[in-house]
Amino acid sequence: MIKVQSLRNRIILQFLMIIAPLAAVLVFLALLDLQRASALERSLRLREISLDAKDNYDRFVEGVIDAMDTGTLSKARIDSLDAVTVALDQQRRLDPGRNIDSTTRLLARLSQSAHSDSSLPSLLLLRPVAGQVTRDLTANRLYYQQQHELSVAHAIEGASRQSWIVLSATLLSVVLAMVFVRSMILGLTRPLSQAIRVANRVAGGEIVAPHEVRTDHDIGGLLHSLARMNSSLHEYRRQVADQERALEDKIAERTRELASSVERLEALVDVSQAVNSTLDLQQVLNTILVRAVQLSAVNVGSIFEYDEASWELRLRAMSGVAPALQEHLRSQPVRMGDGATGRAIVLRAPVEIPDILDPSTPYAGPLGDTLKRDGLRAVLALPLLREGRVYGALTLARRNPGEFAPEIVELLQTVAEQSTLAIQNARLFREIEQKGRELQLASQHKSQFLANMSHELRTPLNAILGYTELIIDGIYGDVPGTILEVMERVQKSGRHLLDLINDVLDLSKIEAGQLSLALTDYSFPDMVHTVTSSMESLAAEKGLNLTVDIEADLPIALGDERRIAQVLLNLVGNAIKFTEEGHLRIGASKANGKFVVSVADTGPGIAASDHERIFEEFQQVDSSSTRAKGGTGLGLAIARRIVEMHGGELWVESALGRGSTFYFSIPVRAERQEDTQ
Amino acid sequence: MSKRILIIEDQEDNRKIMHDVLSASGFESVEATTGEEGLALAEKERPDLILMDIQLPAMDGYEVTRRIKRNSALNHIPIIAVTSYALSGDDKKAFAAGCDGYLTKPVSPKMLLAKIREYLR
Repeated sequence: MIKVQSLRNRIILQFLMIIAPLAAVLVFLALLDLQRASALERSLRLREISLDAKDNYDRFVEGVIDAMDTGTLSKARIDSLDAVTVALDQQRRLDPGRNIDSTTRLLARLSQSAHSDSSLPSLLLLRPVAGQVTRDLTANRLYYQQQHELSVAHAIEGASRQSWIVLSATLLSVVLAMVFVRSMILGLTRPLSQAIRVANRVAGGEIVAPHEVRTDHDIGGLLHSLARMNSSLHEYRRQVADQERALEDKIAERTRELASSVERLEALVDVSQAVNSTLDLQQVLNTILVRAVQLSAVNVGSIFEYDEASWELRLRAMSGVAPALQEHLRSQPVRMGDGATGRAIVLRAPVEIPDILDPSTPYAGPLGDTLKRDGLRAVLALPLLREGRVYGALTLARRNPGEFAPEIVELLQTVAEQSTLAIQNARLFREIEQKGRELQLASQHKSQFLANMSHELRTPLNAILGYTELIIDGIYGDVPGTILEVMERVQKSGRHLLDLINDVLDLSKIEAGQLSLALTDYSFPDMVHTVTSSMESLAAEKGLNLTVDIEADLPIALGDERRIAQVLLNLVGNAIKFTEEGHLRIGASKANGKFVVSVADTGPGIAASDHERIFEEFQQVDSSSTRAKGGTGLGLAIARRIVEMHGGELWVESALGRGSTFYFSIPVRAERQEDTQ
Repeated sequence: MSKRILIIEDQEDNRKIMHDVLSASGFESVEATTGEEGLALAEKERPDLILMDIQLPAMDGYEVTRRIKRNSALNHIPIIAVTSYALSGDDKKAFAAGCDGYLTKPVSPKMLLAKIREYLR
């Protein structure tokens, strides 16, 4: 706490010490002055009165002298005598100390005489009185003259003395004030300069202990507080600095940890990318191993794959392995229980050997010798496990003996998991590939079987149909009507069966990828004409009107003419089959580099929900119609495949009761298509 | 004078059908069941036309055709290939081997006669 109150009081006190004597002297001098002034005024007044008395008396005397000439004393002269009396009365009142009684008496005699008998003779009698009065008044006048001069001299002397006093007092005051101000200034500046020094030291970061600060002056408290503040500030700073250092240490540590985590994460990302991006097991394992060696700062790394049949571990990948050790590991697979690797497999847990020179370790045999020759000391082996199954081991070795850091072991376990995954993936992939090949083979077998079967079925069927036709044609002699009718039914069923077989064969060949297009140049209009003219008789039999509209100047087509004709034949055949009355319109045109063929009928139409189904194998809108109308239920499926093989499309536009229009479009110049499988 | 036709066909039924059709139409027929036998008969009998099955055991119809066509004494004889349901490209292979005509099984008697008459005018 700063003692501001006492400081102010001191200033006031010191000020008063200077001002009070000066003021007292001044007041005293002023009083003296007043006194002198009053004395001076009195002396002046008395001098005037004495002068006045003398003057009036002289005028009276002159009147008397004049009267000596004139005989009479004028009234005015007598009045002057009275005025003298009045003046003397005034004088007595002002200066009672001076005895003028004799003069007054003499004057009263003179006045009485003058008033009672103003004749000259009587006056002359009073001449000695008058002379005495003249002398008295002259003396009186002189006295007051002197008195006044004395007063003036006294006043001058007093004023002069007073000036000196004032001057001295002023000087004294100035001196006192200077002393006071100096002491004030010193009183303030000394602590202030100390305060400034202290503040400078504080500002300079120095520690100023409170005891270093003088507190015996007013701002001592302030300085003390400042020092205390400074001191605690320093303490606080020290604490902050300590905390900062601790924090920095922590940050540095965290940064290191983070960097190493990032490194590890990157390694793991690399590893998992390797696992996921390639199915080349060798490449994956190599990547994993390189990262594992790098991460764990070891000299040598290897990955073994466990062979369940032989219970042996075979070297699959390695990094930094010396040729002699490579040779050893290749020629002699690690068996269960051998070294850290073999033990890890048995224990199904990481096995760490900090120093293989330690005689208690399982490295007594030739493997240990090879390791020792290589200067390897510490070995860490991690089993590659997944779902209780052993896939192999990840083994790392180091030339520095000692234990592996737990976080490294932990990290390597993740790497081991990835390795396991890679081996498992590779095995799965091999299996899938195997399965795929088997499936492909099975599919080929199926198609081959179908192709063979349909061929084999056809051979006896051809015989049946052949004989039947010969019988019907009468090659073997006349046939009775009833038998002929039966034979015709046999023939019809036989032909249907043959169609079925042929379609199955077509489809199986398409599916087996055995149907290849024989691309040739051909005339599209000619192909359409050939197909439609071959169907005209069939249409005519059912009383259907068949019209063909082919756009003029169609370009030469490239494609499998026979297959395209088969498609068109199928579409027209279907149209005739399913249309009982009305007409068929066949159109062929070209748009956008494609031929577009349409086959429209006035048949029953197909519901929208069935538009796609009819292109599936063995699907007709109504299975009963299949029997009624004939057909295999494969024609549209085959047709669509053929069109697609040409790079085209086959579709239908239809609605129940509105007839159907089948379209197909194929490129004018078909490109060689891969089979659709 | 009836024309003589060599039938090379391993299947008995097919042989018989063709034979029955041919004989009913006044042709004389000679039959072989294998390619080798057909080749021998062709040289020996010098037929006016050969009906050649393609899918024969051992030596197939293409090979028999090639050999006949390489033989200057026989290469004038028309050969009609008779094959199972046309596999894409079979016809081309047949013509490439030297066949003159091409028929697919089942062979209808009418088609067979029409084809034969085409080459024996």
